[in-house]
Amino acid sequence: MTTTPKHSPILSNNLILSVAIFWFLITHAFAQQAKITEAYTSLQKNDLDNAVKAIEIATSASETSNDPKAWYYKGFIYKEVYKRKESTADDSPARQKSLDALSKCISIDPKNQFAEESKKVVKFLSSTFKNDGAKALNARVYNRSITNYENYLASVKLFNPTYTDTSAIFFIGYAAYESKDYTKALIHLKKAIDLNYNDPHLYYILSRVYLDRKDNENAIKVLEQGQKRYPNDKDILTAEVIYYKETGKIDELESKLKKSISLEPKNTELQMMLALVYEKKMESVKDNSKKAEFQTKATDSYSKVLSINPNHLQANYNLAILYYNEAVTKIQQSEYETDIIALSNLQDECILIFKKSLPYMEKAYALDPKNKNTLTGLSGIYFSLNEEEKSNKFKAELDALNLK
Amino acid sequence: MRFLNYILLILLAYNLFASPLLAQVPDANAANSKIKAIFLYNFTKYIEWPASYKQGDFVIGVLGSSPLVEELEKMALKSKVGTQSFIIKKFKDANEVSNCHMLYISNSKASSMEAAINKLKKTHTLIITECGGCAKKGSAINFVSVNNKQRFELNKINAGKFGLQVSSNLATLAIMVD
Repeated sequence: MTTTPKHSPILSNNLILSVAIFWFLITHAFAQQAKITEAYTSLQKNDLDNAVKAIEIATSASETSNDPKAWYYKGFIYKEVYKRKESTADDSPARQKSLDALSKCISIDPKNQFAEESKKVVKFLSSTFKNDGAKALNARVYNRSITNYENYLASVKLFNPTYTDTSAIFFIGYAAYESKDYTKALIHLKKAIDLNYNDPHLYYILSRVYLDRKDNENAIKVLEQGQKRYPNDKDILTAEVIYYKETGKIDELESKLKKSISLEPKNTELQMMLALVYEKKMESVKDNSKKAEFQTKATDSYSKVLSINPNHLQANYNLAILYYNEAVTKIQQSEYETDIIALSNLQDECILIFKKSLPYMEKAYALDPKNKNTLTGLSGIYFSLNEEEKSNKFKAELDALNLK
Repeated sequence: MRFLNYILLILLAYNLFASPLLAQVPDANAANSKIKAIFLYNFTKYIEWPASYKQGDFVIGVLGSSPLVEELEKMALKSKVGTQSFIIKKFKDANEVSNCHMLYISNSKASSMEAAINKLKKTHTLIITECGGCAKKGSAINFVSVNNKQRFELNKINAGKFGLQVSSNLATLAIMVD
């Protein structure tokens, strides 16, 4: 006896459920696709809030979460949010969301349907990161500058994977140095050198990093490397000058200064520094003829400064003090047993030197009448010239200043 | 690159030179005192004190405050008059003044000169001053400045009043006052 299979109620229920699920999936998928369209039309109608709402639903729904179109729209919509609402803000979450969405789009778009369009938007965002990095750097907000430059470099990779902007690497290194993140600074500055970044400041900043880490050996090594690459660069030379000044290597400092001056003969500050080097050398030698030699060199350097800028306050003051000191030292170093005739000759000699000092101190006074050192100097020179009245006049001015 | 140039500028202006006008002003008082101390030392060679003053210490008194004291104290550490060591005595006013080889009366105590001289009447003290007209009023030696130069007036009569003989060589170097 054969039995005809009966219609199974379980089978019938499963069929209904499958059809229902299928129907649900179809309608749901259409609904998610509709969200993408809604986002697009909202954007066209300038309804950014609704566009954001719709695209967020679309990109988080499983049916459309791998649809490059959805991610492209998301990137585009958030780019618009950034442009319209956050472009002047210090920080823009919308821009970051846009970049993340576009990055996702590029990664899931093997047919390149939206990748090229996405890259155009990324390129735009990238330029804004770069600009903001530079702005923050100029405003000395170093951490923000670093973040922006890092985003810039990461975004560039999305549309041009082989390109590296070495200037951004240098700026990150510089900003890291300024914010005392020496590890980061070293990594980026060294990388900039490896990538042949063309700016002498790179060597200067890297040497500063080494100097701040008390690594003098590498500091000067980098500067020498920089000088090889830029033999006539004034800033590298200046950096070497700073290095030798800070490390107290006077002979090397003198030689670098001379070279710097040969490149910039009108640079009064370099001449001033050279004069100070000679003064330092003058103090360090015991032999009087050597002292005199360095004094002459210091005097010449100050005179060169004054020939370029007669109103250079410090040069006037320093030259006055140089002469003043010379006379006082001559007197102080004389023996108590010096006979009266020799003493008379010594006084004659010193009077001439005090008189050499006087016009420079007078000039310094004219340039800065309220300067206590100048007033003390003038009072002292006149006192040494036994011009009591004038000495007292400047002393009174000094006393009046001290009372304030 | 404006910001980097700015950094270099800052470094040049401040880091290298620190603040301007920091070079130290020499001590004019010390130099002036040194010249006077050399003069005083020379006077010991050109003035003849009685034999009793050639023994023991050579005493220089200073009446009133003066930067010269410090210089004389330095001289006392380094120099001698023959075998006599220098002793520097400081007197605040004329009442305190006692017997010494030289008495230097500072400008601030010029008005006390007469009182000091009276106090030292019976001694052999060389009275040295630094005030206008003091050589005529009682001091043997008075520091003056002529054409920016430190010189001294000599009044032999006043020196003689204290039994001191002045070498003619000193007279040729001095501005003589009667």
